[in-house]
Order: sequence, then structure tokens, then C-alpha cells
Amino acid sequence: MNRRVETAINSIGKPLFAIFVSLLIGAILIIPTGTSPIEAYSILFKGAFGSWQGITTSLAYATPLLFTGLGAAYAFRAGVFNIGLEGQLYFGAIAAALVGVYAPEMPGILHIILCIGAAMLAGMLWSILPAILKIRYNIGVFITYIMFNNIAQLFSDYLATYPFKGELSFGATYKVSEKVFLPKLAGEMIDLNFGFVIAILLAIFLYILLFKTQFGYESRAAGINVGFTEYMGVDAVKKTLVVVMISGAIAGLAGAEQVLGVSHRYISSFSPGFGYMGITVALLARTNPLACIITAIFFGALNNGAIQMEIFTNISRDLVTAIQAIMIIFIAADFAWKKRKGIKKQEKKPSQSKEEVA
Amino acid sequence: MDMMTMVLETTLRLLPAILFASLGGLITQRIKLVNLGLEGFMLIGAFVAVAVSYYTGSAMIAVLVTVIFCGLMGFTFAVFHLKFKADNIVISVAINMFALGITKYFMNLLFGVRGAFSSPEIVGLPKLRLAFLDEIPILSAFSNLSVFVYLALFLVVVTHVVLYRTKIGLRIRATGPNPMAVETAGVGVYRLKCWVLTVSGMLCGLGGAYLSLGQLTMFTDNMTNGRGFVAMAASNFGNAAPIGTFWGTALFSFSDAVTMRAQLYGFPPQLIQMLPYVVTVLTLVVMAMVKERKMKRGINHG
Repeated sequence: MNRRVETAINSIGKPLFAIFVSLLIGAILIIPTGTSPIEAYSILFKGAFGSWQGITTSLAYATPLLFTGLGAAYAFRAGVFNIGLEGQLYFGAIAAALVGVYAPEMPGILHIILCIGAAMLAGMLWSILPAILKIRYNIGVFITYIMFNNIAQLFSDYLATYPFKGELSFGATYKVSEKVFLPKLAGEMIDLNFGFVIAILLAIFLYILLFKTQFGYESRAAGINVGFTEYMGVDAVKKTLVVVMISGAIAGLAGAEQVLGVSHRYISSFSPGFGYMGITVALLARTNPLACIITAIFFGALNNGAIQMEIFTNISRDLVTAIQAIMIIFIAADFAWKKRKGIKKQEKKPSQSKEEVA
Repeated sequence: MDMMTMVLETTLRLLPAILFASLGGLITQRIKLVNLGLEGFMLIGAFVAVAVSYYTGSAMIAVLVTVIFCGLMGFTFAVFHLKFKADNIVISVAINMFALGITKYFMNLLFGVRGAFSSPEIVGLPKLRLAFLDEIPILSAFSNLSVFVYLALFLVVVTHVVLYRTKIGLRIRATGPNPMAVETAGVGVYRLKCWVLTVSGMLCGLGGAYLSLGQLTMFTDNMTNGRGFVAMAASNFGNAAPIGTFWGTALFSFSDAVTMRAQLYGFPPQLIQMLPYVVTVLTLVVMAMVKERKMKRGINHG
């Protein structure tokens, strides 16, 4: 029982502490603008939750974050630090858009499945290359993933600006066939669409997969200790590849949701960093897929509210990006809660640096 | 100027920003720590430099403040990583995100603009005018470069000397492979690592300041645009040795310079902007293949 309480404090108290500290630092940053932080935050909160429109828009903002957050959470659980979600999302989006525009005439449901399948495949393939380079040549995944993010975005933008340019004056494809639109959930004016339902179902599915199946057990074991899993006879390399592929496919799905549900075409540089924000979502949820639902909605609301705040005050929405970053640092830090609770301080392990050389 | 001289001059102009940061990456790599936050440090450095230069009208003060500021950020990184045990990659991701948000926020707050800030009141870094080189082919590329180009090259030598010829360099080099031995020798590894990360931040600050006050005299959103990561790749290219790292940055700056020229001939900009990243990945792959072949040969001969 005591241990349970401790775990609960650790898994809920710590994120709450991180949220509190980062909002406090945010408040200090707001002061020089001349607006009172309390007023700014209340406008932010009202914008995000104050009306039906606000709530549904927040959920719409949360949808891509939930997808990328799940992609990140699943990978982190299995010990793979997939920071290439942004690129996988871009390739997912362009794949969904191209299949949505150029596939031959077919029944609607089949067409949707094909679009989503193409997006997942694209994300999967793009995620697996750096992993292969790591396994084959021991090239660190961190740099390759970041390079791959830039390459994917620029190449998708190129495709939408040159060979597959649509009728618009800027770099965007044609509108996808109306049959592949994901149905809207809160009226035509609000971006919330069926993708949100898919994301929730995916969260539940991943939770069951991770915590209730043999496969999930092996994935989690791989995350805790690679050497130990090898001892158990699980082929660590193969496992890593499967994890990366699933994670990449989920990121591709996020791209598909944006194209099929929101913009209905690929638009150049559409992502404001959904892939990177997914990392925050996953970390704040302590890589628990179900908790990701809450943290994604939290960040969706924060982003939505920030726009309202920018409209009604002189505070730029970029503040929220900085607040999220501070949140990540505080959630990643270990301030030795045990010590504070009076339990005998355990000898800390020497700090482990990721030393992977690219 | 002929084509070759122009490409050389562009390469030299692009070099310092990446070179400073890659020296920062190199020293953290020596203590076995991947610091992907180089990008964020640089971006914040670039912003601080422009802001201070604008308000004080002095590039000297701007550089000084930037170096101190980025050093403090490096120190913060060290504290969170070493003391509070936060994962270094997670901190790096957070720092880069923070830099992106905070620079935009303060640009809007201080100057009331979005996207880019430029003003005649921003004082750039001085240039070293070598008029006698004007008429000499190829060498004329050196005739009007920022002093920071020379400072960057000088710091490569300094880093080399410090790493291989001084006691502190020996300690840094030993900390990576064998921290215990260093600790046993009575050196505080914790403090040493803190210093390395602080200096790494300072070097990135120099890189950022050069970017916004030397290469250009303005600040734009995300103006580092991946240079911090390229710097990290360059340090890997050189196996964390200063001279090798220099060649890595030279290669990347050269490919950047070539693509900038290519842009003038009407190639799709996205494909051209993609090239430096592709070159980086390909270089890493080729390097790994060469290393592997060398190792195999070593085994065969041994």
C-alpha cells in the first residue's frame, strides 16, 4: 500500500509539479508585457475550455498530439528514443494526400483505408532507415533522425510545390477526394474529426498491448534492460525494429489525420512541430498510453488557449512553446522525492549520459 | 571574382558558426555525452547577441554578454543532467524547443515584430580588410572576412593544444573512457563535466553571435536552421579531434556554399535546402563503412 502511494505521488505529483513550475516561470515571463499573468492565464483557460467551441477546438488541437504522443510513448517504453516523429508525420501526410488525390475510382471505405495504410507505411519506412543504419553501421540515431526530419519535410514540400502541385498559388496538393474526408464531429467550422476517436481507440489498444500481452511485456522488458531481454531469448535487434516501425506508423497516422480530417490536402510546412510536441506529451504522461489522452488534451488546450491569449492580450503564443520546454526539463529531472518524504535516501546511481556516437 | 574564389569565400563565411558549435560538441563528446542542445544554445546566442548589440551599440559587449549567457545555459544543462539525473537527450530536445519559443517571444516583446528583426542600430562584428589580397586569384577570398573567421580557426588550434598538451585536457580525455580513474586520481569528475558543458555553451554562444552579427546583421526565427546538428555531425566526422572536426565543418560549409550558388540557377529550393542534410547522413554512412573496413583489415592482419 505504502509503495502504491509512493508510485502514485511519483507518477501524478511529479507531472503536476512540473506543470506548476513551468506555468510559474511563464507567469514571470508575462510580467514585462504589462498584462497581469492571472488575467492572461484566465483568458487562456477560458479560450480553451470556456465554451463548446473552445472545448471542441482544443480536442481538435489535441488529436495530432495524441497520435505523435502515442508513437513516442510506445517507443520510449521499449527503450527506443524516436525523435524522428516529425519527419515520419510529414511523409505520412504526403502519402495520404497523394493516394487521396490520385488513386483510381474505388469505394469510399476502401479508399480511406488505402490512404491511411499508405500514410502508416510511409511513416514506418522512414522510421526504420535510421534504425537500420544504427544496427548495421552503429551510426547514432539522434542525429540521423533529426536530419531525416528535415529531409522528409523538405522533400514532401518539394513534391507538393512541383510535381504534384494543386490549383492553389502556394505549395499544396489538390484537394483529396471527398470520399476520404474523415467525418467532422462538431460541425463544419471546427476541425475536430473522426481521427480523434481513432486516436483514443489507439491509446486503449496500445495500453492493452503494452500491459496485457506477452509482446508488450517483452517490449517493456527491452526498454528496462536490453541485456536482460537478450538473456530471456528475445532477439533485441528484431524487437527494436518492430518497435520503431510501429512508432513510425503511428506518426504517419498523425499526418494522415491532418490531411484527411483537417486540411483535406497536403500543405507545405503544415506541422508546427507536432512530432516534437509528441515527445512532451509522452514524457508528461510518463509513457503511459492512457495518460497520453489526458496530457495530449492538456497540450491541445494550452495551444488553443494560447491563440486566444494572443488575440486578446499582447502576449505572443510562442510563450507556450517555451513553457512546454521548461515542463519537459522538470519532468525529466529527478529531485529525489523519497528524501523529502523522510524515507532513507538511497545511494544515487551515477548519472548515465547517452553517449551514443553518430 | 571567379566561381572558385566565390565558393571559397562563401565557404569561409559559413564556416565559423558551425565550427564554434562543433568545438562545443567535440568537448562534450570527449566526456561521453551527446549534447544535441548545441542548436538551441546557438539560437539563443544569436538572439542575445542581436538584442545586446541593438541596445548597447557595441558588438564587443554583445559577444561578451552572449558568451556569459550561453555559458550559464550550459551550466544549467550540467546541473539538470548531472545533479538531477535528467536524460541528456531529453534536455537537449527541451532546450531546442525552449530556444525556438523564447526567441520568438522576446522578439515580439522587445521589438514588436514577428519572423525577423533587423535595424541599422544593430552593430555587426568587425571585418578584417586585407586589401593587398584583392588582386591575387583565390586568395582574394580572404580579403574581407569577419575577424570571427580567424577567431574560429584560432580556437581549433587552442582546443587541440588544450586537449593534447595540458593537464586539464588529459583529464577531459580520460573522463570519457574512464571516469573512475580520473576520480581516483583526485579530480572531481562532476566539476570537470560541469565546466566542459559550460564551455560548450560558451562556444555555441560564439557560433550564434557570429551567425547574427557576422554572417548577417539581423535575427530571424529559427535562424540556426539545423546548424547545431550539423556541428554535432562534424564533431563525429572528426572522431572528436579538433583537426578532424575542422575538416568536417569545412566539408559541410563547402556543400552549403555550393548549394547556395546552385539556388541562383533555379533549382527547386526545397531540394537544394535538403542537400546539406543528405550530405551529412551520407558522410556518416561512408565514414562508418571506412571505419568498418579498416577494422576488418586490422583483424585480418593481426
